[in-house]
Amino acid sequence: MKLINNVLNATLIIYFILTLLYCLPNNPIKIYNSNYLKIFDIFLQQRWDFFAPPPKSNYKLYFSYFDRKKALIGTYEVLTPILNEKRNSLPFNASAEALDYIISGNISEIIYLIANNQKEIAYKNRNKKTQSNYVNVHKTLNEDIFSNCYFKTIKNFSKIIRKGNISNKDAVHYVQISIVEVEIKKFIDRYSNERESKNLVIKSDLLKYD
Amino acid sequence: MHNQFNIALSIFRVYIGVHIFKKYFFYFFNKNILFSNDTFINHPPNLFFKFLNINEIFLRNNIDFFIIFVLILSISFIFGIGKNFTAILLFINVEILQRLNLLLLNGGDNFLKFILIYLCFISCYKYFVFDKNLNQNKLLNLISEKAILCIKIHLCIIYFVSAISKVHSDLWYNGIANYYIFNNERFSNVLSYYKVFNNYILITLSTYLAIIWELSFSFLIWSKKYKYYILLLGLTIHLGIYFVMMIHDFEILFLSTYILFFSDEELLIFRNKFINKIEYVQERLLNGTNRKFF
Repeated sequence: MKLINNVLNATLIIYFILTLLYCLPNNPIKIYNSNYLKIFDIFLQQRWDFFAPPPKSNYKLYFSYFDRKKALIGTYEVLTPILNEKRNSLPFNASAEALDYIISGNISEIIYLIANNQKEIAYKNRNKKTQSNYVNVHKTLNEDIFSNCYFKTIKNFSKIIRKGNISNKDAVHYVQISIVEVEIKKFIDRYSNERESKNLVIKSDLLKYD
Repeated sequence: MHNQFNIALSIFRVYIGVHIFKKYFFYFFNKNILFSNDTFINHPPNLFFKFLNINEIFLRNNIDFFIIFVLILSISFIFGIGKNFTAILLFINVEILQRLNLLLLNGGDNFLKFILIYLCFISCYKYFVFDKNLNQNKLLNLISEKAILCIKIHLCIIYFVSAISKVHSDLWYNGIANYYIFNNERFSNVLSYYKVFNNYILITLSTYLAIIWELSFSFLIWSKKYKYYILLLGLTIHLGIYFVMMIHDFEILFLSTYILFFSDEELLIFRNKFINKIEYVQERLLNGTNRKFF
């Protein structure tokens, strides 16, 4: 029994050292032993950096609908109604909460991809001075974003919003998707009447519905 | 070898069963949107299913079966039917459902998965069960004890890593992180619109308190002297988040693990003290009433 106890203790010590190492931010021990930690990515993935750093912005998702002649039919912001529904239907807000996690989750992934792409653009252009190269790399990477599964989900969601808001859905031929970042007022300006600053994160071309 | 945590474990088991049942009961009504193939969601390729060569399309086509099975398993788990075998099946099915829609997951779901892994090895079937026959095998008791310890250590790791990550961030370091969190539209509820949540003293103190508490939890929780204070502070912070922000399941799940830090003896002392207090209040009320009327 003592032997089994010792074996169990040793196993748990190794397991928790590896768990702690996997969860901690990048450090030399973690980087040198990254091969041993790969198994965690597949089976024991975990992240515990709650609100570190806290988000400094809220995001808005806009769908603009266009007809066959590319004339604007209407523009709708879709994230705020979901969050209002989530807030107003407490504590039975499971559906709204799930929808928020899906849409906001997809937006987060797109923003993460954009940030990564910007790093890549900077890296690929580090020795080149021509503007045309920058534009080409930028275009290719943007195409990656528009063709990935997260953006496709957002586009599919725009069809549901179209159905709920536009009576003649057959009139809609194109959609343009925009994500806007609304910065939370700085702490020092929290009582000021100035409006929060808005930045356009991404704006798609006119995307044709199938 | 006797398990000192039978009462706590039984209550914890019942809560975990209810937690899973509630979650997947609500998902059941949105199952087609959240998990099936006929949905607007374009799921990213899943490494886990690929690695184990599991047919993801088959899982999505039979999502009704998996959710109903989880609901049945969670009820069985609440009443201790099937004991550890049910716990294993529950873990496998919850893991499959979690993997089928990764966007739905938060830290609470992540911790739930590890709790279920540990519960597969824990004997938590002494109370609130149909079949009270406990296997008193020494080896199983030893494994069970270690698994209980695993839940506690994992909780400590979570708080510790969370604190280390916060210290690194400027907004936490400067004591204003909670202002940004309260103003995050995704999680703030109507309560956080009150101006008191923009008060600089409240923001600074609550921000620093969160870091200090998370950092110290892993160390002080093992001390008999400080355990109650650190758990009481944790209870206050988690309930505060529960009421001010829209993160509910997560908070209650974390709070439910706190009961594992109390042995049967401690819980019985609490219960007796609580009953004595109620009897005392009842007596005072009755005496007061008597004086009033006679």
